[in-house]
Amino acid sequence: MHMRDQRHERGFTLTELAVVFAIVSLLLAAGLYTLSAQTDQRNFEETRQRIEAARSLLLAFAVANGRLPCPATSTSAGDEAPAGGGTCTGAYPSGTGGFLPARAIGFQITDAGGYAVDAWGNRIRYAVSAGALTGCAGTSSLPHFTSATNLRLNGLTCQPNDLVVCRTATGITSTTCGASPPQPPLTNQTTVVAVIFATGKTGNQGTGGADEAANLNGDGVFVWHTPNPAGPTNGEFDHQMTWITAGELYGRLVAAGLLP
Amino acid sequence: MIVLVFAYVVTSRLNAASRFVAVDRNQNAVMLARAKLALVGYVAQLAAQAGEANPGRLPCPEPFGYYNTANEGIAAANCTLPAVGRLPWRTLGLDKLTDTAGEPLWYVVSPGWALPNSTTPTVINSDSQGQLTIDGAANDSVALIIAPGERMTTAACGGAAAWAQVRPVAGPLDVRNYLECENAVSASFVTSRPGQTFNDQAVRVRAADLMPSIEAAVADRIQREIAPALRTVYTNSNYSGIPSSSPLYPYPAPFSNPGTSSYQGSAALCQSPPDPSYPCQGLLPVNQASSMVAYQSTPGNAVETQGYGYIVSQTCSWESTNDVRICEGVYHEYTAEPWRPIVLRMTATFTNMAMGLRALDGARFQAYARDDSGTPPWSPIATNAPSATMNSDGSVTVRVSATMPNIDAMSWDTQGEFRLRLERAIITDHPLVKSTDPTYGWFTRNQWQRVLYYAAAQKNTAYSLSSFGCGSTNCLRFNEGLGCGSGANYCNIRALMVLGGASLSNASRPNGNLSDYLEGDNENGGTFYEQQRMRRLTNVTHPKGPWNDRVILVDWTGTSLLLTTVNNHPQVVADTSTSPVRTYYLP
Repeated sequence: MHMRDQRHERGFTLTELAVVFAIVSLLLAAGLYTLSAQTDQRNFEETRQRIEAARSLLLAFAVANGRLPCPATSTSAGDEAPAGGGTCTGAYPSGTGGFLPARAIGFQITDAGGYAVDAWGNRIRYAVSAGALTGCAGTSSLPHFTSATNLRLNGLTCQPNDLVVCRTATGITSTTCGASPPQPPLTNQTTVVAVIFATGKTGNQGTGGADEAANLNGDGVFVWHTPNPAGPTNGEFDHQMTWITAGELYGRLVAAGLLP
Repeated sequence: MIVLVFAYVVTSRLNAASRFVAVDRNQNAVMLARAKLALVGYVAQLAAQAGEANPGRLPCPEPFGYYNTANEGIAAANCTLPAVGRLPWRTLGLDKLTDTAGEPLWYVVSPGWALPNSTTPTVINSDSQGQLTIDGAANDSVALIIAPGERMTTAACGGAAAWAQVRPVAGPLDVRNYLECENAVSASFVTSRPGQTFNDQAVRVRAADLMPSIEAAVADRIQREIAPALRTVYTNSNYSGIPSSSPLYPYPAPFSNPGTSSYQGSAALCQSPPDPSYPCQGLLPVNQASSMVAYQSTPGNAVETQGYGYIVSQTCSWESTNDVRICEGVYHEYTAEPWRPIVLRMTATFTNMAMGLRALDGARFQAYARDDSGTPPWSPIATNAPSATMNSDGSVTVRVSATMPNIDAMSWDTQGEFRLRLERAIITDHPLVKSTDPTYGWFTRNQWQRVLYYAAAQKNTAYSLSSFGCGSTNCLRFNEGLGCGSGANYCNIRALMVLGGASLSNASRPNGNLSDYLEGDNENGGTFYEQQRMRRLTNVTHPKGPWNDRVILVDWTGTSLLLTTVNNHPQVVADTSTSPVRTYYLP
């Protein structure tokens, strides 16, 4: 019997296999990395669309009800608190409140608890102006923006004076962007009636920096800028934010014949 | 095979490119619409602010020099019009909205709609039109909001030279680097353009987009500012002859073309029967006193009113034009008690007082005295506040007086000389009709009287002074169906105004056609007025048709108008007679 040539029947050497595996894993890693980046990007876009949808629904709610809804709290099952508006249980986002009232405005994508969520499943936040007003020509009874009766009686001269969006948490106070912020505020003090934001991929896990913390500390001063990885001043930031101006709200209410 | 593959690749790229253009345009349209809504609302809110002297004005664009500075997004205080620049997003309260190319939005504002400098005011009312030329149409729009798109290299087009756009990071901005063709030249503007050298995407803001909000805000201000002032023009506290029970309202001016009307109130309108047939309603009489008020007859001589002392002799004459009556003479002390005061008075009656909005200007009566020996210079003397009586023919009788210097105290022996000088201008314009007045000037300066209808109860005009004040049967009526039949509510209006708003038929304004200004029962000349919900009908019908009248209740009998609800919607709210009533336009 002819002897088979041992050399030709040999398999791959360990080195060859290692090289192959290395290449395959490199390719795989690159592919997975791209996939994950794409997923993040898609979620980012999706979240942006959801908070814009929330914005539209809030304005539609205002036209139908003559007021903005109160935020939901962690115990209100996604409805505004208190139901029917008035003096809000918690007007600004904090650990226990300031969620988008999905049930009140008819926001469709919710978690099991009934709260509106972003593309990562984290609850969308919402703040509404509840503090003292400025510029009122007549009465200035509070709450203004969450009470249909007060809103009508006070009229459209009343401007919000408690919500403001800054570019950085550096120097902010509980009511303003600070006396001399390192960057100019994004909004003037008397223009914002409601803020809607998503807490991003990292969610509300306390891993964010000072800029993220400023959005959840229960006051009306917010921070928004383009996303940051951990590292730059004030740390990681991936919140997505939009807001409603007094002009937009009053414009809608006037167009709907609800004001003045 | 190769050709097929090549053709496939080319067509698929083309498809993708055009798809992205459509997606981009849709996304830009969303941003532009959001900016437009915020702008319209901002203008309304600004117009509603008490103290805003130019209601309806738009903010200027962000100055070019603010680019990439701490002031980015803030509007200039004033600007040369038409003004082109970036949308003042921070002033509007917006985020820095960008188009799909990542460029912030641009903004053009029309002449007449923003402040051109620190002194020239705007004139904006329901009849105002935008003055921007857009796509060749003159007077088309008030503002234009533009998404500038990707930078591009343009050939010469629309009056602009060929230009290779660059987007530098340092300011100041150059409009040619962002907008193309006509838009870069900034005289007339285009929203679309054939050819490859244009990629601006624009949304117009027309007067019709802004006017409902501006009118709502101005109606609110008329309610808060003008109506309370109208209640105090003629009252018992400044004119005897008017009962204390209610104010007197001036005669309306007959409605005619508001562009040419003299705005002179007419007593005939409030007679029984009225002439012409519409009773006691028309335009607000915002004429100037100088053009209507005159001495009804030659004023009598000066008299001493206290019984102490007497006038020895006097001569009264007209100074230059007959507008100033002067009485000069000699007055004598009260010999028995020379310390007693000597008060000299002049009385004059002026026509056409209640035919307008007038006031008394006490400084237009002057008194002087001097020793009667020799001719020392006249010394001015403080005068007493004038008193006035309203007469039923609409005239007013004014008494002016001065307490003369004591003869003894002045060591003038027993008598001195007096000189009293009464000017016609003692009847002056009420601040409501002064376009320079810091509080009320905005109203007439912007000519809102052109679209404001005014009605008074006949019983609350000078014609009815002998049996003054309307009651449940002869007041004006408002939204009668809401309870007038069962009680006195809303059958008790003494005076009201109706802001007619812009023409609903797009008729050329101003014109003399009342039905082009008012709607429903407001235009039929009766004493019943109504407020309906604002509506512009397009494809549905309503028995009352489209509606943009806004009723402003000025005054009513009783102490308050109660909140009344119809189908759980409040219709009229007032707390007390001193605070403004606001009307709501609910279904």
